[in-house]
Amino acid sequence: MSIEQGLVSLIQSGIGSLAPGGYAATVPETNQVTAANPKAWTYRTIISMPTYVLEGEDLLTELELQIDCHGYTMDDAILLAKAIKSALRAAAPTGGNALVLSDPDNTVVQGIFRRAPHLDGYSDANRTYVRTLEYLVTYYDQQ
Amino acid sequence: MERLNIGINPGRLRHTITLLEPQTTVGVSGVETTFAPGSPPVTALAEIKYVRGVDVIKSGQVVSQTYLSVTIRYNPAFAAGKRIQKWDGEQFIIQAVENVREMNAYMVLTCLGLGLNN
Repeated sequence: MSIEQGLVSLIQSGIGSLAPGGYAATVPETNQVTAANPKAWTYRTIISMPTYVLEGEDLLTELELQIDCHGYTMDDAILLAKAIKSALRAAAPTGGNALVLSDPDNTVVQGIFRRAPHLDGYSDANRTYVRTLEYLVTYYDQQ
Repeated sequence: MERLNIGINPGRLRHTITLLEPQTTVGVSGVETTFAPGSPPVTALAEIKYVRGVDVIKSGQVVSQTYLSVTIRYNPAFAAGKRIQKWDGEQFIIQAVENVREMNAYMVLTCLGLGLNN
């Protein structure tokens, strides 16, 4: 029912069983990053910028998305970030073709672009690492 | 005159724990620290008491933290910054060590477990 649902499915199908993820904003306790469960990813929306034309707001929307790749070690975080980057690079529409996501709205995506932020961090509460990626997604917002 | 009693009922030390030593290796992320048993591995019979458990919501994760009090016979190899592993594989960070009455008889390890109180 949303761009988020479609993007989560897209990434999760791209990385396969490498890590559970697609959680909104936070890793739940049921999938806490531990030695036995060393990777997980979450997303959060940063910016959603509609396009305006003479007739008003257009459906074409720019969405900036933050993806946090959590790892029990920094190696885990780096490997997960690489897998997600690879998945989105492979899925990004090229050559004027659009990408239709698998969410119930079949959201149409015109472009997926990785943005500059590429931040590493450490959780002092869980003694785990994180690599943060940002993406710009242009899509048609079905409201 | 007070009579010091530093003995402990050995029947309370009913669980085996293994000491995990920090090891520095070079991996994908550069120099990293992992924890593994030494060679030969150091083990101890222990009494394990759960002190408390909390949920911490921080840095984009819901984290369960468990605090343990682990009593063992005195062995200076068990020190803060190292980890212990229970028989079932669960690992705990040694946060502090109490050498009870500074008598080198037995010690109490204050330990932190992450993601283990589900």
